[in-house]
Amino acid sequence: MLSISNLHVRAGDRQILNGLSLEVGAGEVHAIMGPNGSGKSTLAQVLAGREGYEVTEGSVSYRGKDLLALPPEERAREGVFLAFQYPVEIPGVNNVYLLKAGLNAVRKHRGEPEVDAFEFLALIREKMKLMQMDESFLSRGVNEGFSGGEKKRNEILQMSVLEPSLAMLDETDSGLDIDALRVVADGVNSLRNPERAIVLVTHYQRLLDYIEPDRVHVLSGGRILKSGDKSLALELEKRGYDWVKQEAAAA
Amino acid sequence: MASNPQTDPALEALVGQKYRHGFVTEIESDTVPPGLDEDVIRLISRKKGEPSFMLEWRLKSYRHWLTMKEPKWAHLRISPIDYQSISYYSAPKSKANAPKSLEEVDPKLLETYDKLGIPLHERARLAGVAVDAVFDSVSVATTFKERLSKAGVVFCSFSEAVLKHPELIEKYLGTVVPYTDNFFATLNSAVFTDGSFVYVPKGVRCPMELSTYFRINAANTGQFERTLIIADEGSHVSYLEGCTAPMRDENQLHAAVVELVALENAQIKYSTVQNWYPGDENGRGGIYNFVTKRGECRGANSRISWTQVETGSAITWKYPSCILTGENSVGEFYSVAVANNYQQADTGTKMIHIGRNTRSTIVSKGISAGHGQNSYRGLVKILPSAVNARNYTQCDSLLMGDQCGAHTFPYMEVRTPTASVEHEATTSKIGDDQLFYCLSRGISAEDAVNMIVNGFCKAVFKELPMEFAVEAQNLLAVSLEGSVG
Amino acid sequence: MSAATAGTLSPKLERYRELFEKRFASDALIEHRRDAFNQFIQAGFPTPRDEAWKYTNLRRLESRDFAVAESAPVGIDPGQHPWISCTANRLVFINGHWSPALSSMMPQPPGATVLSLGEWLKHEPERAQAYLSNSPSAQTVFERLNAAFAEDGVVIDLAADAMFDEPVHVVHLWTAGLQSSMSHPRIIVRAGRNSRLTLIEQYLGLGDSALGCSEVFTNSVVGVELQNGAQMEHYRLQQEGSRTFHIGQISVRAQEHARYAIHDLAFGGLLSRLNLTIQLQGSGSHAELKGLFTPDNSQHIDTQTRIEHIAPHTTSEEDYRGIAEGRGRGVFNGKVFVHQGAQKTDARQSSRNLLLSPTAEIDTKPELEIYANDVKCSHGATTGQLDTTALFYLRSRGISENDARTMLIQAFAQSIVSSIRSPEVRGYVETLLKGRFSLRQVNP
Repeated sequence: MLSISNLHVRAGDRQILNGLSLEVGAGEVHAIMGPNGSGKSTLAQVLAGREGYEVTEGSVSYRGKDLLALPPEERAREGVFLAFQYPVEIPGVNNVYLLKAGLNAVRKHRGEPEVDAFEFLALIREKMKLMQMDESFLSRGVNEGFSGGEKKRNEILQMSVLEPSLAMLDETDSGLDIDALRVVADGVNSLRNPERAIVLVTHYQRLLDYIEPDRVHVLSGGRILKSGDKSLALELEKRGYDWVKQEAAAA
Repeated sequence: MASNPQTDPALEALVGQKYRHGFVTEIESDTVPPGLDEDVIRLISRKKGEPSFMLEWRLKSYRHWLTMKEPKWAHLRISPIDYQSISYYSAPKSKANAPKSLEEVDPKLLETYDKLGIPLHERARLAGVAVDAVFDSVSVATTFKERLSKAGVVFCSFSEAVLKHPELIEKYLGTVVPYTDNFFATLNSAVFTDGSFVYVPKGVRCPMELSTYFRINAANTGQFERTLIIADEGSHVSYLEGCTAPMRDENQLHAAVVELVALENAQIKYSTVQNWYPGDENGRGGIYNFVTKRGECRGANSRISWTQVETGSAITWKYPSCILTGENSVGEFYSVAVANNYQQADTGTKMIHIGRNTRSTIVSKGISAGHGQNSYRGLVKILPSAVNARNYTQCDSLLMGDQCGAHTFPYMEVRTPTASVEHEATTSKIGDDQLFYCLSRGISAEDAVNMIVNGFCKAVFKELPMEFAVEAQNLLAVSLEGSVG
Repeated sequence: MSAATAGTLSPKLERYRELFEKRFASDALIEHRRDAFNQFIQAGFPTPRDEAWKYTNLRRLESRDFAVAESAPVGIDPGQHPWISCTANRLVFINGHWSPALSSMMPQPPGATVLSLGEWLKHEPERAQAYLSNSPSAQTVFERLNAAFAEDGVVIDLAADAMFDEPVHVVHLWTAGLQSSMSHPRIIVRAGRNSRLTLIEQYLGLGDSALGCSEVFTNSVVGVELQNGAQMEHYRLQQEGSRTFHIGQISVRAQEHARYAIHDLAFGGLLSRLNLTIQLQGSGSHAELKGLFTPDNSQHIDTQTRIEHIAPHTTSEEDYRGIAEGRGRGVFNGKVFVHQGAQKTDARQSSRNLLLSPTAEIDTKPELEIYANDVKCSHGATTGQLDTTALFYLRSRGISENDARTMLIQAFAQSIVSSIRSPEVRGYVETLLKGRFSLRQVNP
């Protein structure tokens, strides 16, 4: 579904990704782990189409399309979703309004009829129950005055409404207490299916206790140094990242 | 808890210390009689042996000045100035026309600078700071010349530069502050007597801090110095300026001009600790400090940084500014201004964004005490060509006592949609709870106030070169003594 | 005749003098009018050299010849009128003259009086004049001009505890197809102790097409006196045509614990300027200002606010937003002035501006002038483009760039609009803004 090959990315004068390659198939859950500053968030942002990054080499193909050639909204309509590490507050733009506009843009793109306000409200109420979100959410601005945990839950709610093919979760576990983490993980797990790929970007192994990955990759210095199954995450938890770097340097 | 810090007896103890630099040096001076006309200007020019282009420029300025009126827009009350009662030239009489080396400088002068804590003897001076001393109208000594000239840096009095580097003077003089700029700058252009000149050649990082100490000594004189600093491509220089004057009952005029030019990749850091005599506690006497300071970031990636600690003067009127012409150039302004007793300060900056990606930062801390009036006045102007320009301004006022005033007049003119301009201002007093907290931890009220005030000014002090930062803190403490009374 | 009128005047001022003499030579209040007129003549039109007019040049206004506006019959279908509907108390002025036919008033509550200033001036000129003279004023040139030429307007007088349940809605409408004219409307509010009032002030123009519509000049003056504990909610909508010069002055005096809240919405006009002066004279008084201005095309919209904290324990909150597009220019100058002795003042001011086109301009000047030490005063001002992070967030949810921009612009304006308490006004303004910001492509 997603094929990243030899990706080099620069932000200003700083080279952040240095020849990253990754294959993610439908139905798979991949975890990308790595120390701070390794380029994890950059990868997620670049795939979602954030400006300010320069791709100097390499390519990204998503369902056979050149992903990098598409503007951000086209990627979203094609089924790429990013749950942000720091979701922005947009006072004055209503949560429901944003979601309905997004969903209808996606549906229109797929050639499906747009949902009306009643259908949409029913849909979102059901999803909110799953994410244990308060009714007052409906009348508030996008992430406006939300706590860290509420923002993260809102990201997963949006994901469940937009039903993406490729979901990337950028540090979705950070700043969550254990109860909130469980709610978020349940939300993600309920979206697992054979047509959908999920990429988890995380610093800690903790999230992987709740969302079991098929593959684990270690990102450091802008490249994937090591890949393995879920046991790699446990090993990283125990031994840290340095041994992976040393191993890679020796190789 | 007492809600009224004015009556706090512990704070009363802060009252008392007087201006430290208020002595007069008994020295024979060569002073021209008061008054201003073309003959006086010719006389000044002749005494300095200037080339004709300088005399022409002075006369052109003078003729223009006659058509101008004093500016009235500042938030200041200024007693009328009689420009005909000022003497426009005063120099210590010395054996030769000018001292060739320190040995030839009148010992009394050296003593004066010793008293001020600025020994001109090179060995005695803190390592790494070259000093140019300006006494009344003329430069009396410049130290460390040799070491600087090895690096190719020219650091000398303005008069000397006119004689030795006329091509640089002719090329750069008046290009940042034109002779028509404003009433006081135009007057300065006509009558300026001396000042400092710095030229840092391409790629040179000036090996030491450069500094000038200005001293007004003679009565009834005005001081009109002019400073020009040119940082050629890729060069760096840090320049410090300090000022003091004797205590006199009448007001004295100080109308200086400073011009900075930063070419591509060059950096100029200009720091001022201004401690002119502020007048007595009833507002009698003191210096009128009407100064035009402006720098142009002419080349790409250049940077000009102004830092000022303004504790002295009866009236301060100055707006060190940056014209950001070069792409990616950066302008900075960090200021602490104190108005105690009857002092008035109207100070701030202008950031004119012309080039793409230009950035500016303004941090202004105003402290008002006694009957002092302190105004921040600033302009941030983003022209259509300044794509992606950024400005951030933080402007805070601290009020001590209920008879003083703190005012903020920021102007923001934005003409490009990709620019981002942000301004924040706050006004506060020293909180009773802050003070109480310190007292309850065993800190004296005096120390507590100093701590709080220093904390308030921290963002500016950290921009000063180290030896100046300590001096600035001490100066601030002295300036505010008696303010919480 | 005074020196000012006898001396040499510029041709433009001379023209005003002729108009004045012709219109008011036999007016019952000629002496009062002439005093005001002479003061206007002596000061003349302000120029950019006056600090208060630094960013607004009146050369164009000064160069025009305006006649004194005459009432005209309007064929307005009451169901198709352009003003806010659902208001029960409505006073409509056509070209500055009261139109009883278009106005409607519910029975007035006890202690409340609302009347047409024109009618009052006709029947009781001396009493009306005395009342006018006591109304708060900022003594500006344009107030003097208004005092010389004012012929109609509204007087609202509330006795202690009097209360309007419904807003009082004052509409000023320019009709199409008249010669270049000027109008000097006046609104006077005197709110007694603990009285309550909502005032909607709306300025409109009909037939606003570039062709066939002549230039007009509105010079309105509003004076508000709020006695102890009085509360007033004020909405001002300036939606005049693209060939209108609009100068407005609002002067408010608030006594102890009085509360004044205004929404100042400036959308129309070619050149528009509002001076809003609020004096918090009584301890515990409070002012709340929300403003939105949206210059587009070649519009110039200038707002000057001055809040004076005179008594201790007074509070003010100010939030102004500007959105400049096209060749529009927005000017905001907000001054908070804390007098000596006004301890415990709490004043907050915010000015936020969006600049959406490379030919638009925003000039802001948030000022503090403070002569008391135990105060909390702050202001913040920003000018910039739409938040790029928010823009990306919306796009990453599948929303097109253009839609995302529109959403963010509307959201920016919404923070002012959502605080409008009157549902009639809020609904009306929301519809207006929707039309303004979504029916066309927004410049990238």
